[in-house]
Amino acid sequence: MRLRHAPWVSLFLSVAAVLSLVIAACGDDDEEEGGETPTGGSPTTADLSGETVDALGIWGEEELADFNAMVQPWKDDTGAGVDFVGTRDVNAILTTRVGGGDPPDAALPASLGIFRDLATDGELTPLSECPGLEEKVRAEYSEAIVDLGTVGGELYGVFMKAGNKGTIWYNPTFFSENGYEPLTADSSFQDLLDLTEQIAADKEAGKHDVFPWSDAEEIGGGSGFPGSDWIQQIVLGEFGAEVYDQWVAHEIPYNDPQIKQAWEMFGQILLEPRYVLGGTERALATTFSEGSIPLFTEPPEAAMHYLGSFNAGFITDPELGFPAGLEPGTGFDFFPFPGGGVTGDANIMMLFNNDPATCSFAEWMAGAESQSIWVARGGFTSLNTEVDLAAYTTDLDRRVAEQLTDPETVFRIDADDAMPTGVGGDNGAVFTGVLSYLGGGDLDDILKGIDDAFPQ
Amino acid sequence: MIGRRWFVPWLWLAPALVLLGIFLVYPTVDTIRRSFQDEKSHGFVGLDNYRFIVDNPQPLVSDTHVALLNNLMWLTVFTAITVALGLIIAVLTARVRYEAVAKSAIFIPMAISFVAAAVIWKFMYEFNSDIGTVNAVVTSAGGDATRWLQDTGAPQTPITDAGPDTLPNPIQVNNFALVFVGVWMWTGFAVVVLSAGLKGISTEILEAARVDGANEWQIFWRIIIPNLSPTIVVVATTLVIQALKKFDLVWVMTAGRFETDVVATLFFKEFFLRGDFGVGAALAVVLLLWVVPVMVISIRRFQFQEETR
Repeated sequence: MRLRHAPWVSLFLSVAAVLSLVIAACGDDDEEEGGETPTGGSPTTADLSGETVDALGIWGEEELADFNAMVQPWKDDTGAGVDFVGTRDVNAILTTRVGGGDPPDAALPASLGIFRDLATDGELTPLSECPGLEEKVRAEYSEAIVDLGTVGGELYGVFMKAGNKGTIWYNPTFFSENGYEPLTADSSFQDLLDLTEQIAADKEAGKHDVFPWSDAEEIGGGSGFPGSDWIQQIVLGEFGAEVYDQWVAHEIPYNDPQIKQAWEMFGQILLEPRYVLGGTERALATTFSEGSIPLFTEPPEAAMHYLGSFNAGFITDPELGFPAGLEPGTGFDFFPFPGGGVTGDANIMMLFNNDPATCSFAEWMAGAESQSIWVARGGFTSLNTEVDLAAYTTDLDRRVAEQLTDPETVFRIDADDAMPTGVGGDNGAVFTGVLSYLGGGDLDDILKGIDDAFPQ
Repeated sequence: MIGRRWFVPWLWLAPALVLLGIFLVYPTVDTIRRSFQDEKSHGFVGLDNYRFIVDNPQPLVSDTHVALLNNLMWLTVFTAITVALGLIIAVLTARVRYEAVAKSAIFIPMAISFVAAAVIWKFMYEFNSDIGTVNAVVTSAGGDATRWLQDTGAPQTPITDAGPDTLPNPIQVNNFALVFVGVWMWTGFAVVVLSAGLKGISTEILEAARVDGANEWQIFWRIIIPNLSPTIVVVATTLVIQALKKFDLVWVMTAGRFETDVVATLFFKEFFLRGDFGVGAALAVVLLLWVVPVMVISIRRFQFQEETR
């Protein structure tokens, strides 16, 4: 009898166990927050040993090592640990984890869209719930940056690691040999057109065999982002910050005449086969990180390439096909995108609870002390005004940072990052529109299509 | 005595049923529910999400028509080419001494993970002919490099050289390039299954046909094809299901850009990247509805075979 009963019992037990799992899973389904008790605590100095902060971001490989170096002093100080997951699919994972009622403690994605969505849905914890954090951020960051992190009157996010998208790359040797002057912050878009035409005319006159521009748009779901960066720089530089803000907030339609004009100016250069190496065909099929290669071949094939400040990392990487030993300043350099405005992307730190460990971690990450560590390792441009410009390792990095933090500069976050998901960002309407425009699509249809993509 | 009670069989089935319920029935029902709800699954919106798929109001964000047409292309072109190639190779290799070697060579791509194969082919198709093998071959033969994964134009063959630059979606260079990779991966599967079926045709029938004076062509069409048809249907069904759920190759190689989206990639974008659970779920349901007839046919076929056994 015992033998006949045994499988029975174990079967029942296993069924019961599975059922209880189902019930537990169902129970979790509708819960919004993890149900943490709001306690708070005094950060940095507190003993947090045994605590772990679960953070989600985009950094891997080299950047992950930089991040680890940045949090090490905090870990030593508090005894807490950091469980960091870095993935390029951060938006998908964040959406899923929040939807499943299991958000991380902190997240550091680069998309303003997902930050705004989460803040609007009430998933985020305002910085004011961490003692002293909001005051610290307000004191150490510029007003424009604080405003960007504010949703519905509450401050939810800290913008920390920034990228400067106001940089046009060129080969200084080629420029000086042929007597071309790099543009300055005071130049206008017309100056850029003049320089372009001059290089093209010299090429046709047989002075050299170098196209004015190289362009490269391809990067999977992000294909088209360099073109989108062109357009936002033109909007900010030519029409000013006010139009830019209205444009991003969709207070003016996307097919507004001014925006259309910005696209046409972009097309004036990029759609002109005399100006662009290999024309749009090559641009659309070339990986974005390889766009600067023709500037440094021997002899060069193109004179200029527009891409954000992160391009310095590509140019100095011979594995991508660049010649080894290019030195910033002499081997390669950038001049500011004309118009006086600078756009850029930034990692946003957002919090999902106000546990003492989470608050302490956030305060450390937002501060100048931690960010200086990464700045000194290179590849990090800080938006914290307390970070000393002397901390940057190369003159070029310093100029990139200066351009961003200079009070004269009009800085704005990437338009495609700031627009709602679906419009901006990977696979969004703007990027698709850029690809379609470069592929010969009708501009009015494209702009109307992007405008339709905004939430009604 | 326990064995006679009515609930005993159910009890034995229970673990399987519970697991099936958790991992199949619940997600399916939940997806169907979400497909009738708004983007955050809070309130019901009727058929709005399905209307979105039919009307295609935002072609720049999620071009549902292109995705459906591309899936149709995968369904037809991919399945047809793979079955045909598989059949030809199976029949031909059956006649040579190095059959095992030839079949293994064709089967090897099947052993590569789809993502790895996609990465390999992304390099093969690279526009820069210093990197892209295909374009290196084309340019060294005197041709122009083609943007294999970006060109949405119509394929130009010597026959259509004077023809139109563009044809209606999904007849695009990049779609054919993607489908080719699928064919490359799945032909081995078709060859192995079909040649096993081929071995099952009794040699007596073939010899009888030859004695009666049939030539090889007649044998192929009148003897081999009819005898092989159950196997062909099995292969075709598997390939059709593969074509419908195609995601990995497209996602890795183009991420659905340049009008190469299929329903599965668009579903992923809507559901996980854009966070629109409504349209995402509706796309998943469309895919499900599309697979159901194929499933019904193959199950019917299976039952029929069981009965006639």
